[in-house]
Amino acid sequence: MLRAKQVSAREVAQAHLDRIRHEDEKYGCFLTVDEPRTLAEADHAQELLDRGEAGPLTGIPIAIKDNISTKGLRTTCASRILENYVPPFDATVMQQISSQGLVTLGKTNLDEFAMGTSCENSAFKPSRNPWDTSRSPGGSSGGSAAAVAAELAPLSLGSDTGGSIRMPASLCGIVGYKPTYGRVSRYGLVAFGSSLDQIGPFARNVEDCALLAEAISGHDHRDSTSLQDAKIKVGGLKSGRLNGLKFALPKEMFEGALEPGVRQIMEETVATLTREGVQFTEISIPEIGLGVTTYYIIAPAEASSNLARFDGVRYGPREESQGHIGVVAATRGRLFGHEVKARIMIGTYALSAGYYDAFYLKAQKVRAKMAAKFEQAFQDFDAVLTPASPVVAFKLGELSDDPLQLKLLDFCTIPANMGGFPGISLNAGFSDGLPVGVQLLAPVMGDEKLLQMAYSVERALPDAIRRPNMP
Amino acid sequence: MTAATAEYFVFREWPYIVRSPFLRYNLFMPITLDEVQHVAKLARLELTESELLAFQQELNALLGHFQDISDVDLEGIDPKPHAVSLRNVWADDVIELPLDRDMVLKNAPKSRAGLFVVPTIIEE
Repeated sequence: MLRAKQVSAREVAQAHLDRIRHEDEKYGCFLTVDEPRTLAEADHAQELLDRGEAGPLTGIPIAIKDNISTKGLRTTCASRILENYVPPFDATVMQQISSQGLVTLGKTNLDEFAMGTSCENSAFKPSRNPWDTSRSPGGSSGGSAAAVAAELAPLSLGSDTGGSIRMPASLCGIVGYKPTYGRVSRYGLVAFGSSLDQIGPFARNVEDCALLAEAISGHDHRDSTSLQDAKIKVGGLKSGRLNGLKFALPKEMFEGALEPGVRQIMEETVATLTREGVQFTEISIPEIGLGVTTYYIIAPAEASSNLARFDGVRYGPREESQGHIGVVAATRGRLFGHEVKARIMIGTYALSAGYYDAFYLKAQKVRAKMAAKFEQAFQDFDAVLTPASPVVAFKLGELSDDPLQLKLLDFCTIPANMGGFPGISLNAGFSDGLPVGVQLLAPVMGDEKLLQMAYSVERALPDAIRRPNMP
Repeated sequence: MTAATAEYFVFREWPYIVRSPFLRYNLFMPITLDEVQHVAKLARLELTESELLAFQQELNALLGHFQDISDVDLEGIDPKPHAVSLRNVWADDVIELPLDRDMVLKNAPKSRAGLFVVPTIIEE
C-alpha cells in the first residue's frame, strides 16, 4: 500500500501513534514516545518511497526495546539508574533500520536491564498481555512482544539472553526470533550477558520477521564478536517443503515441567506436522536439565562485570555518601532494582576467590557439553522442535514473590543462547484462550533454513497468525 | 511423546529441575550474613539490613541449584566462554568521528570544563 501510494508513510505512522496514545494505557508497552521525531522519520521514509529508493520495509513503523541505544531518544533499560539517559550514539541496528526507512514509534518496556521473564521487574510499570490484560506478556522483551500482539506496532526489536524474545513471543502469540550469535551487531545494546545477548525481531508472521532479520543483520566492525558472513538472506523463504524434513524432540523438554495445556498443543503440533510429512524422532540431551543452573551462573557473572560501569560518574544521578566508594555503592544500591542487585550479587559470588572453579568454570564446561550435544543433533536432524515456554501467560503478581520459579521458565530457550545457535518461536495453538508457542532450533549459521522451515510450519498450523480480540 | 507417556506433573511441582537439588540441599553449607555483606562490598552495592537478609535467602536457594552441576562428569571438556568460536580480529587503524562531547556530558551527574567530575578520591 505504501509503494502503491494508497497511503503515505506519515499517515501510517500517525495512525500507529494515535493507537498508542489511546490504547497503550491498557497494555503499558511504551516507556518513551516522541511523536515529532517519529513523524520526521516517516517523512524521510516517504522521500525514499517517492524517489523509488524504498526497500521492502521502508515506511513500516517499528517499536524498539528500551535497552537498544537510540541517539537523542531516552534509553532507560527500565531502570532508575538510567531514567534520564539520552544516548549520544545509535546502536548499529538503529542505523540499519533508519537507513532502510523504517519508522521508530518509541521505546518499549522490559524487565530492568532485561533481567526477568515477566516484565514486572521494570522500575516504571508492568506491561500487560493483550490476550488477557490481567496476565504477563512474558519477558524480558515484554513491551516489544505485547506491542506487536496488540497491533500498536507491526514490528519490534527485542534482545534475547536466555529466551527474552522467544518466551514473550510465545506468551503473546506472535513470532519471535533469536538469530545465530554474531549475525546481528550488539553494538549499542546495553550489555547484560555479553556471550549470550543477541538482538532479534518480533513480527506477526514469519515473513515479516525474516525481512526484519535481513534488515538488521550483517557484519559490524564495532562488535568484536560479529561474524564475517553475518547477513541473513531470506530470498528462499517460501521455497521450502515440510515433506521429508527430520525434526528431533528432546525428551527432557517434554517430560516433567510442562503445563498440561502446553503439552497438549505440542502433541497436536507434532501430529499436524507428521501428517505434512515431517519425521519426528525422540532424542535425549540430559544437559537440558542443567541449563537453568548453568545460565544462572554464567549470565549473572557476565552481568556483574557489565553493570560495573554504572558508578554514578558518567550517567545517571549520583547519590551522596561517605568517600568515593560509598558514593558508588550508594548510587548503585539505591537506584538498581531488587532483581538487578540479586543478579549482581550472584555473579560476584560465583566469580569470587575460591568459587570460580567450582561454579563459573564448571558452568562453562556444562555449556560446552550441552552445545556439543545439540551440534550432534543438528547433524542428524534438520531442526529440533520444543515448546517455547513451559507455561502460558501467567497472572501478574502470581510468580513475582518467587524468583526461582520465574527463572525456571527459561529452560526451553536457554540452550540456544548457550550454544549460540538460532531459535524461533511461533504460535502453535491455544490453551484456555491463551497462546502456546512452538520453538524451532537450528545449527549455528542455519538461520536461512530455519526461517524457511518456520515459514512452512506456519502454513501448516491453523492458529499460527490469529489475533486477540481487541477494540 | 505420545499420550500414553503423558504422565505429566503440574507446573507448580517442577519435579525434575527443582526438587532434586533441594533434596541434596542439606549436604551443602549455606552462606552466612557476613559472607553476603562481603559479596555486597565486592559488588559495590549499599544494601539495607532487610535486603541483606533477602539476598542471603535467595543466594542460598540458588546455591542449592548450583550443586546440580557439581556431580556432572566433565572430564576432558574444555570450557566454552563464547557462544560461537571466534578468533582475534585486528581492526584497521581508521580515525572515526568521536562522540559529541556535550551530548555525553549531559548524561553525567556532574561535569565541569568539558570533563566528568568524580567524587573525591584522594583526601587533602
